Amino acid sequence: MAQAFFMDDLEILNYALTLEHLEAAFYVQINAAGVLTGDAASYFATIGEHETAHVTALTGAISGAGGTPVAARASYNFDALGDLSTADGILAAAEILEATGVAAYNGAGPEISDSSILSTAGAIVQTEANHVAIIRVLIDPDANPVPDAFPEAMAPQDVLDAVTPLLGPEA
Amino acid sequence: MFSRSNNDRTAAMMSRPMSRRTLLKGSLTMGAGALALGALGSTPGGRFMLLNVPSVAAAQLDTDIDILNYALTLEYLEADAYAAINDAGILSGRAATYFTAFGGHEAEHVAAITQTIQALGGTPVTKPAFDFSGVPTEPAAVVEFFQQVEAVGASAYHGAAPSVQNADVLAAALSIHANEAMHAAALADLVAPGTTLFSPAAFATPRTPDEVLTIVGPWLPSGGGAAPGAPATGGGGMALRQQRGGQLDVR
Repeated sequence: MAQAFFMDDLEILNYALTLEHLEAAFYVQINAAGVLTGDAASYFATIGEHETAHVTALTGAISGAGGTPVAARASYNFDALGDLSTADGILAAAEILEATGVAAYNGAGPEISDSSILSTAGAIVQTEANHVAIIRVLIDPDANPVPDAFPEAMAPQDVLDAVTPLLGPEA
Repeated sequence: MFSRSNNDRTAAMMSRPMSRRTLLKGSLTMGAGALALGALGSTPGGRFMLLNVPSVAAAQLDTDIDILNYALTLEYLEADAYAAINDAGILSGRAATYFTAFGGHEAEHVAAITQTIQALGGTPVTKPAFDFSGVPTEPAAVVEFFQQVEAVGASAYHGAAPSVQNADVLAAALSIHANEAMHAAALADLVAPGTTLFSPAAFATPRTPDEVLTIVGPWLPSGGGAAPGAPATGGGGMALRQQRGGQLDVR
């Protein structure tokens, strides 16, 4: 495989936590805005709960392992993902975030040394994959929501390049 | 559900009560021309293994090739099940769209895993002669059933992935894991739209091979008296276990 990107599992956990902070903050903002209705609102409420739970769990895991969990940013630049005043814009932005999350976990997974951490990552990525599919169903229920038999992973640097513009100032 | 004893479970799997068939509605026969057996056996210690011959001697899931053959068996099962439903033409609309796409994915997984096993110098297991005579035929029940199958498939990859040694094999397993989880979520929108079925918990629960094989056991040939190459008959296979109107017992 490729040269290792991370020094150790703690770095990988903080990488994951960075993404989970981003996702959790997105759903807090979107769900508070009240643009979505019906099934979309129900699904987004569930997804938002999951992302917040992921933040809590990863923070605890990093602390428990003697590391320092990364903090959430003071704010995020979600408008860079599109027009979040419309349902269509929100769904498109969420699809990008969730698909990036799955690709990020699967790109980092093979670098994880500890098998219990790998299992935890698997528990999280499975829900992220659930999220991706249901958001695609919301975008177009009549289209195939799972276009790839083998969803692609993303290299950590590519993920960081993609999400850095979304990160606001440190708290 | 079976008892907690592995030995008891083995006995139960090998002697699926035929009376259970009386619970089943309709049938989708795919046994004709089916090939060799994928038998289940157990060690004295009670650990389940997949065998590509009906013998008590088998490898445990200790190596990547063992894990890949375990995955291959599950993918064979999914691919054949989708093919049976899609060939039967009983779905329409969104369900038909999803099933056509997802069935194609499972066939791709079969091909890729087979090639990987061969590339690693292993021998892919032969496709078992699955018995799908108990698969529901009413469209809503079909979709509900496959939603559960996909969720079990995802949990199987989740459970097995940490045991994989080869990083490339692991990367492939993680990719398939995500794909199966996407299938499960999409089908959930057909089964129970607007509910949490698409993603029931913030942290998914993995299943061990033992747990997965207990769930899918009813699909597999009974193996008890059959020999490799023996003609698959309706009576030789196990009925798909159904409870609560067509659900897998996946608690």
